Amino acid sequence: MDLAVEPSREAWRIEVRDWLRANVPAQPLPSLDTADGFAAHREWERRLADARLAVVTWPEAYGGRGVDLIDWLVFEEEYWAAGAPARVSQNGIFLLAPTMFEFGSDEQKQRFLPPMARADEVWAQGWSEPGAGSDLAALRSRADKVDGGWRVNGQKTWSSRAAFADWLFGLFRTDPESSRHRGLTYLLMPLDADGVTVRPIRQLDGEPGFAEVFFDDVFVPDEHVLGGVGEGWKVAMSTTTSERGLTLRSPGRFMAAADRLLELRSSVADAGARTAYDGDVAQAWMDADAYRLYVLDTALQALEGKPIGAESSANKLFWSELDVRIHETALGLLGERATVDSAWLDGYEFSLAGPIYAGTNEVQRNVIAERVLGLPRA
Amino acid sequence: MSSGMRLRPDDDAVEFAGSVRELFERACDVEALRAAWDSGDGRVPGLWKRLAEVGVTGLTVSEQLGGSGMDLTAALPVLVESGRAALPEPLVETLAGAQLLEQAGGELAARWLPRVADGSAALALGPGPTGVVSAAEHADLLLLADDNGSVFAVEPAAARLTTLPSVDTGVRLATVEWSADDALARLDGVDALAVFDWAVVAVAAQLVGLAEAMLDMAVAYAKTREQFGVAIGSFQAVKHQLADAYVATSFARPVVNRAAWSVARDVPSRSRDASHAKHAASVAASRVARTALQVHGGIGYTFEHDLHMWLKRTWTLSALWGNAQWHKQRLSRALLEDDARTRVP
Repeated sequence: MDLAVEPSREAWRIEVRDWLRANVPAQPLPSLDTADGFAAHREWERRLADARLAVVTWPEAYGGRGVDLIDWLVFEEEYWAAGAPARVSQNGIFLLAPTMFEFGSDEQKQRFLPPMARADEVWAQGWSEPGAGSDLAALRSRADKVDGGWRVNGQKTWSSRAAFADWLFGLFRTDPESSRHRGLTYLLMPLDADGVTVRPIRQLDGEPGFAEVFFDDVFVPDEHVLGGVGEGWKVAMSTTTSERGLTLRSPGRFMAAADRLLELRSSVADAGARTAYDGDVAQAWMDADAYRLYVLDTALQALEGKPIGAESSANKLFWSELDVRIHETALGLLGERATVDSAWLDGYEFSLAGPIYAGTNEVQRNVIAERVLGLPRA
Repeated sequence: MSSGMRLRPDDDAVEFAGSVRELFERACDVEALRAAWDSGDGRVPGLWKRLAEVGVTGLTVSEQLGGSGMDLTAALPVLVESGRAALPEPLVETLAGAQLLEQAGGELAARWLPRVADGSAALALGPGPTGVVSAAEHADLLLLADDNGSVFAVEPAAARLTTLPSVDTGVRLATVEWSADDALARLDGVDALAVFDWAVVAVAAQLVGLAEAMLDMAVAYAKTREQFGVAIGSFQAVKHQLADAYVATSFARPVVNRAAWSVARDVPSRSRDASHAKHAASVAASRVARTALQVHGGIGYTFEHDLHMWLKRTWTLSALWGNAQWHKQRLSRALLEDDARTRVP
C-alpha cells in the first residue's frame, strides 16, 4: 500500500493551479441559471477550451488531454479550490460524452464532441416526465418511425439547463407496443427544432434552472439516434452509472466547501457562536476527506479494470448528504443571517436538490440493498 | 497505472489475512467464542499459541528477534479479520506493546520480544485517555506511562490490578496502580504517542471487521426471516437501514486504510488521520450494530443468539483508546487551532 504522489501528477497539479490563478474571474459570475450568467459561463468554457482544460479526460483529438481518472481528480481539486465558475456544459461533457464515446459513431463523435467541449453547444437532459420520475421506465414520450428518421411527441420535465441550452439528449419510446425498459431509444435533438417548446421552470432559488420541454411532431433524423434503436435503456444506464459513480460530483468541490467552512468558522466574532459548531465543522471536514478517499480508491480500482457498478449508488448517497450537512453547518454559523442572500444560502438551496436528482436517495438505497447486498425485490 | 498509489493493502498482506481468517473460522468459531465467554478468563484455549505459529503475535517484532517486522499497512488486513471474528485475545495490546519494546531496544527487547513472537508472552499498555488498561490481566509484562509520558516496564506481580467487570468478557478492562520504583526498567527513546496512534488505527481496523460481520449477519437474517408471508429484506424500511449500514462501513474503510499509511510513514498528519479513522470506524460500527440488532428483532436481544458478542465488542472497542467524541475533539483541535489542513495522500 503506497500512497506516494508521483512527480508527473504534481507537475500536472501545478500547471492547472497556475493557469487557474491567472484566469479565474476575480468576481464570481452571475448565476448560470440566468440569461446573462449563462452567456458568461459559456464564455468561461471557451477560455478553458482554448487552454485545453475544458475536457481533460477526453482524447487529445477531441480537445482533451487524455489524462486518467487520478489526474482528473487532481484537476477538480484545483478547480474548486480556485473558486472557478460552475460548469455550464456539465450535462454534455460529464454525462453525454462518456455515453457517446462508448456508443456513438465516428460521425457523431466528430459532429458533437468539439462544440460540446467549447460550450458552443450546451446540452440539456431529457429524462423525467410528469408521470416518470423515480420510475423512469414509465416514460411515455414517443418517437414514431418515419422516412429518414423519427417523429417525436410528448413531454419532458425537470430538464436541467433547458431554459438556455442548445441541444437535448434523452430517452423516447420508439416501440409503441413496448412497456417499461424495452422499446426505448436514446435521441439527440436541437431545442430550436420545429415543434419543440421550452417552458422554463423557476427553481427553489427563483431562477429558471430547469424547464419543461414539449414535443409536437418534432422530426429527428436517424443519424441522431445514439446507440441502437430499442437499446436506449442500456445506453442511458451507462450514463447514469458514470453520473453516480464519479464524474458528477468530484471530491474537490466538497473539499473546497469544507475548507471555506473552516474560514467561515474563523470569521465568526462571537466565541460562543463560533465554538458551538466545532463538532459539526470537524464532521463536515472529515466527511469531505472520507469522500475524497473513497473516490480515489474507486478510481484506482477502475484503472485496474474493475467496472464502476451499483456500488456507485453509495457514492451518490454520501456526497449528497455531505453537501447538505456542510451547508447546514454554514447557515448555523451565520446565525440570524442564515437566510440573507449569500453564496452559502445559494449553496444550501442547491445542496437540497442533491438527494433528489440523478436518482433519488431512496432509489439509491434500493439499488444498494438489491444489487449490492442481494436483498429480494418487493 | 504502474504506480503503487493504492488505498488497499498489498496482495501479500491480503493473502496472509486470508489464511488467518481460515484459522479463525476453524479455531475461533462461534462455539469456541461461546465457550470463551463462559470461561473464567474469556480466552480461547490454545488459540494464542496457534496465532504465534502462523506469525500473528510477532507481526510487529523485528525479524532478528523472531517476528516479521510488518508495518501497519501490512498488518491491517489481519486486524480487520480479528475484528470480524470477534477475537477474544490481547492482540492489539501485544502488537502495540512490542513496538515500545522494539523502540527501547537493549536487553529488555532481547528478552521479551522473542517470547512475544513465539506466543509465550502477551503485553498490555496504557493507561488509555480515561485511565483504563485493556488486557492487563492477560499480560506477562505491562508497559505503563506516567503522568509525564515516560514509559516503564512493570511486571504484573509488581502492580495492583483492579478488574473492571465488563459486559464484554473477551476484552478485559482494569485499572492499574503501580510505582516507577517497582518497575523493571524505564523505556528510553520511545515515541509513546506514535504507538498510541498505531493502536488507535489497529482498533479502528477491528471495528471495520466487526461492522462487516454484523452487516453480513443482518443481511443473511433479512433474507431468510419471513413476516407477512415474505422475507423481511424485501421491505424498504429494512432495505434502507441496511443500505445506510453498508454506506457507513464503505466510507470508513478507506479512512482507516489511509490512517494506516500515515502511521506507517509517520507523516505530519499522523495523529489527525488516526483520530479520523477511529472516529469513522466507531461511528460506522455503532451504526451497524444498532441496525443489526433492529433487523434481528427479538431474537437479536437474547443471549442465545450470537449477535450479542459482536455488539458488545463494538461497544467496548468504540469506547477504548479514545471514543469517537474524544477523537473528534483531537482532530478538531488540529484542524481549527493548529491549522493543520494538509491532506494525505
